[in-house]
Amino acid sequence: MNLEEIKSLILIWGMISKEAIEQLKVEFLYHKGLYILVPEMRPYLLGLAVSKNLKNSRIRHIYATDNMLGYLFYKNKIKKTLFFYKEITPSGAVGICGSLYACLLSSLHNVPIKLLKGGIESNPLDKDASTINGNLFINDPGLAIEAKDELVPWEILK
Amino acid sequence: MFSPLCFPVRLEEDNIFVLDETRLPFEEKYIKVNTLKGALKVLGEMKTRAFGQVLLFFYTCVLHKDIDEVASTFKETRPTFDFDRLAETLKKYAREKEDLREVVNRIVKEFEKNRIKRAKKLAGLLPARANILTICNLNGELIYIYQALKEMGKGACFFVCETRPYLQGTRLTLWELNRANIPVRILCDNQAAILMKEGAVNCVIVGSDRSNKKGDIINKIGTYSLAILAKYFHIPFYALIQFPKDIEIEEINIEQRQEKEVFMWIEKRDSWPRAIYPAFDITPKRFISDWIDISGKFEE
Repeated sequence: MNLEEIKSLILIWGMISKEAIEQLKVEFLYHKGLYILVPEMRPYLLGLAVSKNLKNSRIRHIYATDNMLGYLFYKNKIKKTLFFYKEITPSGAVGICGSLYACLLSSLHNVPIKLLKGGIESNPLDKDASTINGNLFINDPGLAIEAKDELVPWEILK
Repeated sequence: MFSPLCFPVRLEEDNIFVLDETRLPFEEKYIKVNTLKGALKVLGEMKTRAFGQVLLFFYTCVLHKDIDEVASTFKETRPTFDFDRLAETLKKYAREKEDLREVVNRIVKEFEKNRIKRAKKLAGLLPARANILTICNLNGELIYIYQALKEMGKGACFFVCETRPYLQGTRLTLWELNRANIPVRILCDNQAAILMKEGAVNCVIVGSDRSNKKGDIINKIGTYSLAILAKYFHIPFYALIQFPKDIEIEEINIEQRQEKEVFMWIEKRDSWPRAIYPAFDITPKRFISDWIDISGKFEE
């Protein structure tokens, strides 16, 4: 799909919940030009699972790799971020690997972030950057930085 | 220390040998090309890119002779890169010497000398213990930077973004640094922010496919994110540039590649979700700490 065809995107980060899918269905009735942006969410490729859920609910969505988010913010395509967190703590919200990246990019582009309780993730094949879909790409998997849950501080989520 | 990626394209007699970067790190295979059509095919299929596409352009001109035709067809295939600028350089020098092959060899030698010079200049700006975050692949230039740092008594470790979807970071950069015994780690593109926050990296180095005289650059998709995050965390961001032009950066066509390429390296399926694939992004001047230019005789 060509970038010029896309007017408005809602970015999803984390595992979307069933409740959120129901809410999005309603929102989509009123916004014809709207798409959900589903990033890949490495290393887990969670985006593929989220995309499947959205497809089953007939919600329009676009897939992108995580490193494309910045350009989409720069181009003012993303209007809202839905951050599906795992846990709320006094210091902020904890989400999957890359949560700080997605939320900080939103915040730096003045895009509002909505916090929602995340759904249940399936067991991913990939644990870090050494593999994709279980296929090893490097000789020494120890060179890959461990993927961990990340805390997004409240000052970023404001 | 040598990486095949320092010179991924070679001219031998009337054949061009192109290192098939899409096969790395699994196989070091060269594709033989001897026509313009063949060159366009390997270019379009991303068998080579960055410095490789510069070499491919020059060598194709040697074989095909018609510099303008090579430039216009290369530009059609990869619209973001400035092949017109390469054509101008080549034509300027071809006027002085009749033998195009000799001219090209001289330019390539000069280019290489300047890449090493540029690496030394950048190494001088880096801290004594440089933990360098980078993206995509700089065709051996990180090796030159590491060598220069060592000569200055400095240490370094590279943190390489995997660079989805083509995985140039994993397949090319990690591979070439690791085989040169240079300290290196690999990360998912989205781990850049947490590494910056934790203080694991203290500088960012990127290349650029295009740049303008104002200081804006165009580089591999994901570069802009690194730049804006680096600014937020007060981490210096360095761009290696060449041939900056007097042009508005937004006027440059950002190549958008086929949707199916977004799913490269993932298992085959009957259908994929709709996707977008801008291959490059724009990083405005305000996010860049310093520009390290390549300048040499052929630039005078």
